[in-house]
Amino acid sequence: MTRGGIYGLIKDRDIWDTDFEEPGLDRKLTEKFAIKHRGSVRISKGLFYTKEEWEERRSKVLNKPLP
Amino acid sequence: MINELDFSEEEVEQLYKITELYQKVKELILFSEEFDPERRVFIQPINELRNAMDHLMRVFAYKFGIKSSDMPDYAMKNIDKTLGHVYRAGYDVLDWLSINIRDQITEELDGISHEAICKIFPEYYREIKPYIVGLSEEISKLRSEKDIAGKEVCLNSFNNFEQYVEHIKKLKGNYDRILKIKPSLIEYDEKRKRSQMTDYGIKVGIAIASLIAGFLARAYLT
Repeated sequence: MTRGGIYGLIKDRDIWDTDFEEPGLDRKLTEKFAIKHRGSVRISKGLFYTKEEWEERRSKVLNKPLP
Repeated sequence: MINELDFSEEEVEQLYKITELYQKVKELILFSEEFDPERRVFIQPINELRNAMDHLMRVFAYKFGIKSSDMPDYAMKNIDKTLGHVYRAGYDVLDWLSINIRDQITEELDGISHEAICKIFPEYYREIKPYIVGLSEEISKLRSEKDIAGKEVCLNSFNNFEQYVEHIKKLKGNYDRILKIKPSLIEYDEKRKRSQMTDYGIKVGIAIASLIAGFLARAYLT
């Protein structure tokens, strides 16, 4: 019963037990395809934090002295 | 057909926990998206929910007979992993909130004098600031202690997650207090500036009057 993909695009492994890749978001690519993208408006408009951008913001805020 | 799915009592119990937790995490995500100063979304929790959905679908695929497995506890293992990913999404979003609230507190008090805070809002230095400073450490502790894989997933994660939520609610409460008191802080600073200007004016006036008096006295004596 266990198989690769239904469409035969993936044959070498069981798709059910294959984990997704970590999303590597490319800001320029997101903007380029924004016009065709019908998903999240915020992501299409570039209004998101990638993991790296968030880490950068996180350390910036934590290093900012409190009044 | 779903009525025919053979879920064990333990599996149903975990699925119920996932549903309850998801409701909480969703609320936190919705709130965070509104609270973010730039209205940005954070990809990490979305990614965790995507992985949670993937593990949940493995459970259904197995139960529907679409997918087979040699592992007798395949469904339970994937249910546990689903729960783990929903917890991770929750922790990520709490982290996002803690940073954004802290940043907003710093922004709101930016430009307010130390004197104004001391006089009008001494609780800030007495309670709020030490709390925020200690919170980063506390959060790191909660995050490092969280066990989001395996059998103990619930107890440890649940306690730490709820503690973390309580901290965020307290931090948000402090932020609200600051917003409420901010007009008084600004008013105090404006009054202080006006009074400083008046003092300065008086001092300048005295200096000019002394000069004139000196000049007149000198003219009179000569």
